[in-house]
Amino acid sequence: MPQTSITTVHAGPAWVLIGDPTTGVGAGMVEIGLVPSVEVKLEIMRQVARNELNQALKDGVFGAVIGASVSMTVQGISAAILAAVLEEMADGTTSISAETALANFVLGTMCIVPDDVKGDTAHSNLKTQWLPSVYTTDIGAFIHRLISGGGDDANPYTVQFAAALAATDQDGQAMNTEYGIWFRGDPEDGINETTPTVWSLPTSYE
Amino acid sequence: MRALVAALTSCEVEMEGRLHLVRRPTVQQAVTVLAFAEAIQDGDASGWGELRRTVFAWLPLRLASEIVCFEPADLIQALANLLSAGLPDAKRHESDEQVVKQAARRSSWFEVIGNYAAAFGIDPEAVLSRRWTLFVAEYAEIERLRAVRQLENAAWYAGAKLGKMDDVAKRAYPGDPVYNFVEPEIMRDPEWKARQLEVIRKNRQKQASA
Repeated sequence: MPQTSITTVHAGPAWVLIGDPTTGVGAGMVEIGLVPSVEVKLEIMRQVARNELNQALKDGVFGAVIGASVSMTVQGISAAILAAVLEEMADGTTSISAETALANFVLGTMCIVPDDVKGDTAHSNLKTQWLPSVYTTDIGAFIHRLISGGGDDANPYTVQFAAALAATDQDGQAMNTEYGIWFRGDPEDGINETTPTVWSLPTSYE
Repeated sequence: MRALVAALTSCEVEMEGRLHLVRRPTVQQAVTVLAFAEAIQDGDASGWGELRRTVFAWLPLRLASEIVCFEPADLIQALANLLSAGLPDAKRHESDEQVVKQAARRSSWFEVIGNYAAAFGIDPEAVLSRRWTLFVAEYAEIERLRAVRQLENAAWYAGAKLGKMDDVAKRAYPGDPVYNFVEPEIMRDPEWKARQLEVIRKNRQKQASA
């Protein structure tokens, strides 16, 4: 089968955090923890002007990055924490329920830190991925089933996220448009303020 | 190699003064015989029609018509003997067959065939027409490899539980099943989970008041 797209696969799992990076010392970032797999895919849009022969014209190709989709597989403790983070899920002391009314979500910022980058000034490392505002498009399923012969006996749980375009961060700071959906590296490059409030991660990541 | 050669050859069977040339049964034929043997022990003779058809499809006509007239107990015994008649490596085949029968008893013949099909990446339908002796040898090998893999996983998991994380990390590769079982030290601390829930609570409060 000919290869029709390019996938960059990074060796090793990554640590995922969601929350508010503008609170000092990463105090607002919730650690989902080390997850078995997390995949970020940038979504692009293309508008192509064509002639009568349906040939694309050199000056007629337009495009933009319109979003990003994140697919994350979690297990164990991570699933419990992620459930608490999900907007619709309400975690009471003795019960867990799902909000059924229509609500405007306040979106958190997601940070994906590769395992080998954790502890190496992760917040500004070029390998760290940031998505300034993410929301869930699928919150997974609760599955009861028999596990038989081979396969994953640990029952992973997959959640899908999408990125929304952020004009400001959670501290109200204006952001450069190229950093509004997804970026890697130092968040300071994306903040359009003279004295920016820095984004931070918990100390164990720096 | 022996299993392959055995699968490709026929064997000569002597019955009441006559020599018959018997081909190796296919997986479908062998499973029919074995399944019927088990069912008849529970008093269930509903597979008799299927067994007759199988016997006539597998054995030479003269041999089949003689055998089919035996008493059920003798019939089952005769067929069981014919399944592995004249094999060069009979002892090995016997123990391999035990492995396959046990697997079938644990789950079912569907699962055994399904596992084999998955291991070799072929259609389950295609598995049914493979030769029984080759199937048994290969299936026993699949089970052996799976047992080895599970022991390895168990060893790594035990190592991780005992805190030998470096060892685990060195041996694990991306996507390695060990990552399914082992969470980093910090995540196993109940304090850590409590901290994250606390952060979530504070964030929600901040959002609510904003």
